[in-house]
Amino acid sequence: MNIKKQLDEFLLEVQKPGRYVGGEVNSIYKNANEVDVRFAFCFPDTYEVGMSHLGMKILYGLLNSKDYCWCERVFAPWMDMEQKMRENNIKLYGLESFDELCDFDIIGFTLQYELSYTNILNMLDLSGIDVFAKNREGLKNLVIAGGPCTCNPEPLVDFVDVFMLGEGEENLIEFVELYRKAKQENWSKEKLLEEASHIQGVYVPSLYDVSYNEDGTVKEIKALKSAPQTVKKAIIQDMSKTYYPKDFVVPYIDTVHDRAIVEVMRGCIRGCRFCQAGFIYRPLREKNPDVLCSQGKSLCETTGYEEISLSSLSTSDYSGIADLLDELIDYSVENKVNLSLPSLRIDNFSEDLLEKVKKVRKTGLTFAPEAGTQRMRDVINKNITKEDIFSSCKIAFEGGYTSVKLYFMLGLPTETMEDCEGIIDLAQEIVGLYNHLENRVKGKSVNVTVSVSTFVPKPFTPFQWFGQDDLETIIKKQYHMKDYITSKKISFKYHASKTSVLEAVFARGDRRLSQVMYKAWKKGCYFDSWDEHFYFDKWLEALEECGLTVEFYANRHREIGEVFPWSHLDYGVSEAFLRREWEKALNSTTTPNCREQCSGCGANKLLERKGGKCVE
Amino acid sequence: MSNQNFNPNNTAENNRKIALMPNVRVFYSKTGRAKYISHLDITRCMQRSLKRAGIPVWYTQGFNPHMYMTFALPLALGYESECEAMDLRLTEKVDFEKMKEDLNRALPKDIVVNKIMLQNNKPQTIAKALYEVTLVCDDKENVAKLFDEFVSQDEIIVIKKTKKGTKPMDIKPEVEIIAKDFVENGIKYTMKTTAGQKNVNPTLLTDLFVEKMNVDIKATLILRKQIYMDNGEIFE
Repeated sequence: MNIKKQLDEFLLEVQKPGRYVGGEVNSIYKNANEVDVRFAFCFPDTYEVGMSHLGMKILYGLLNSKDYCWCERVFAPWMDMEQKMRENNIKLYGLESFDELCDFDIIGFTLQYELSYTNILNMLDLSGIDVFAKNREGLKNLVIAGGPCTCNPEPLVDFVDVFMLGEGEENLIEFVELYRKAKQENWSKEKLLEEASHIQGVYVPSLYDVSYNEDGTVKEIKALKSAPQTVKKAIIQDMSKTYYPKDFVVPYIDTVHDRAIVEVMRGCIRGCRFCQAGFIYRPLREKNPDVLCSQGKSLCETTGYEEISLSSLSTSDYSGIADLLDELIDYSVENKVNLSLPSLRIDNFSEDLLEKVKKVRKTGLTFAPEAGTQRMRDVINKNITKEDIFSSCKIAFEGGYTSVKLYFMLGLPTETMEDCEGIIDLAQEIVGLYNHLENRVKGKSVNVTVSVSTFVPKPFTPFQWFGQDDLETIIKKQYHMKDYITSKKISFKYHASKTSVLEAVFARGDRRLSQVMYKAWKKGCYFDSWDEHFYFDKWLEALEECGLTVEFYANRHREIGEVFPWSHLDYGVSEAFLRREWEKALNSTTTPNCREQCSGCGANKLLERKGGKCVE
Repeated sequence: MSNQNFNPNNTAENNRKIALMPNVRVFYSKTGRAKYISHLDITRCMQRSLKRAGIPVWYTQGFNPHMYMTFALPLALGYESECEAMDLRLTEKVDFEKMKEDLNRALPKDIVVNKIMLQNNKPQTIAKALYEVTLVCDDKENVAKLFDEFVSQDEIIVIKKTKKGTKPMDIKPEVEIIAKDFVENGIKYTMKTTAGQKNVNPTLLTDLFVEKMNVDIKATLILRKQIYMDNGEIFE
């Protein structure tokens, strides 16, 4: 193949050439002439980031399980590679066939975080494909996008033809089959898009007309032709029965997460008010422990991995956790496989669980109290107490750990300077707890790492009405906290907040931001999530040129009743419920978790077993 | 996880038995896309492939047990090879033909096991390696003329990086050009270079050539063909 020979001329001059050659174990090769649909699964970030993503592994396996479809992987080349590709006139290609992206029927992107959006434009451009959807005629190179950020995809509507809302294991196949039919019967792009809009979870932005009020807020969103007025997300009814890959592509090079993953459940019972995932993946659906064990074992056998990770939003809330761990630990010991358990909660972190975790992890423990004072934790509905935090730390220290890492958010609704000081006070008390503990490791001092990120209000959460703290306020709070620390045992980590500001703009942005994104990308903005390549000034310029402001999107408090840019999208949770939660937050009132008491969020209506509760 | 308490190898009787097991040498080729995979990544790939294939590999007995595995002459990034050697210790006797088949099923397609045998000679016996070096270029005649000129100098001094810094080294006596062939995409030189403890990669020569003679080479393709011992015999 021509591209291969050309690559030989410069691939040794770029960092990590293994990113660009494919050929890994379990990657799938088909004859391009024998399939009806060629699908390019594009991850708008580097190979190492993209290859760690579970959703891509699921959909890659699923699409390739269909004889008529060949799905290949595409990642954003790092800048050194991009430069070489542009110099040598090489277009972006699929890692399996080395064929150019413009040879593919469907080009699918996953939207995992807002700051990856500009990479989509760059990847299309690097493929020689027009970035604007309206300029792409015909069925070829249809650009679709899925993933969590599609719950408000409006900033991307100028570039993407179709968004897939919710969980793709079933409706993606339905869509691809419709595309196949359209291709066989020579449909126009318009006909395909209109037909596709009737599939649950398929959102065709060009079939919606958005008008604005004088103050810039959305006035009305009108469905055109036969498109539904609201688009409901796609959902998997039974997690134990849905498709899960028997193998993963095993990368040669080191990636962020390079291990077998089993997804123990989808959704979360907790309802932490800041957490978008906690609302858009509702309701909770657990996988059967036997299914999980066999999936985990199958993955280890087909990949040769030495580690299985149990993935979910809150793994210690999985009702079958004890049985699952017992069986998996037996297997892992026998087969020299490590178990890893991210996302454990602080309030049900038992000694028994620690014993099990200790066998599998040697590094420090990380907890996420998210806020420093009880009042603040009640506002965000974290539902943990200081006692929970202390008892977890005590168990950890007595179990031989000498360092803990604590995650917090800054800029939460109703937050005062006292709440910020509360974070440091809490860390200080944990240092004190360690020092007074009799059963701790002798002769070693403790280290408490406080890591603070900037809160970004997201759609479909009770905080969707809240205006983000402006940059000045955030920086003032960060500096105050830094000065407030007296102990050398506390390490304070915080992050430049400008990326959080841009994230806030896009998270709740509207269609007018497409132009801003285009202009910023033209100015050289992409790989925005990589600090060394983030140019906030260029973004501000682009906003200004479009007559838009950061304040309007990020810092403005929304009134109840405002039409949001995502008002025509339905993720199950009702606006009335979110409003109730917002009001409770302002009164520092908590809401019990779904197992304790149903709070009527509305997500149960997504399940076919009507009327009943989501969880036992 | 620390598996030391559960390591099935970790019994006195087993250890005595395994101590008597000879090392096994796996010869494989690494071509195509795999040439862009670094030696470290190949090591991990081999471990996973051995695991997938269910080969009874012996694990080291330390705090952090890992597969016992050594590579006779690690290959530089960007090189292809037909004669890579990897040494393993097994915990039980296996049929080498079956092991080869199992392993080939488990390996990525650009890495292929050619032969498995008992280890005959220590890697320390390695003295020379044979390479095919293709200079990809348009103006073959001219490049060949310049190259012949370049290698016929009395000494060829390269600055070699060592752990202690850089030092000049004359590689003229370390490289023996055996053949020259004009091929479709350029000129292919067959050369034997010093290998092993003192290792001279052919790119030391070709990179210097490109730099000093200022020639337009599109790519340098290198294929390792054979490894020899100090007595001149093929390394096995």
